[in-house]
Amino acid sequence: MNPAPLLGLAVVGVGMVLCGVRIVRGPTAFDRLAAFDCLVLDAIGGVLLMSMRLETAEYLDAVLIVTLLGFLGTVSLATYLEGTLVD
Amino acid sequence: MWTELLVDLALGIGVFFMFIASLGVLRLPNFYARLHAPTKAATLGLLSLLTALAIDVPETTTITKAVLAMLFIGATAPLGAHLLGRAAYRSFVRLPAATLIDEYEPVAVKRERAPPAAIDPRDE
Repeated sequence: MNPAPLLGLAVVGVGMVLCGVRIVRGPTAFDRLAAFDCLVLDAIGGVLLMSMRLETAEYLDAVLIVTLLGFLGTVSLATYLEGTLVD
Repeated sequence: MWTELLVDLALGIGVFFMFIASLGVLRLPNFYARLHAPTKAATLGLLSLLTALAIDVPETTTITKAVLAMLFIGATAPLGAHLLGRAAYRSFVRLPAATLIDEYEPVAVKRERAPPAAIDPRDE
């Protein structure tokens, strides 16, 4: 079996840990939000690598949904932090 | 043989850029620089990974969904980063000291001082 997806999963996992460090450390809430965005993108990459490992394309639906959910979360939290959220 | 090589190449590029994005989020010196990393590098990495998957499983549904995901990611990542940067600027996250030109400042100040657009008659 091709070892490349597993190696890639390890690297992406390390990247998620780095984003987590920035989430814990980040001086402002905006830093945390940007790092969370990166964490979501890393998770999507992990799903893609796992589906390459399993030789299937079943998880592409999950990729689509998580992409849109991550965007929705970023937009709503950014507008909330900016204070222009219409009540 | 050649497709496997292509898949491994795209996978390697994708993983490399995903890692670079995470490293940039952790290591870059200020917020506006940190915003660059996930927007550009992670987008490129995800596009490369999706390409690898589409080459690896060459079916019509897979390729369609991969292209759709590429379009979504390519549209949403810059939008989210723009919103984040604007929200941070208006919330007085300080620019780095090395900034030479701040083209948004006059616009933001003008908008701050502008009178309210219209008075709601129900208030009177």
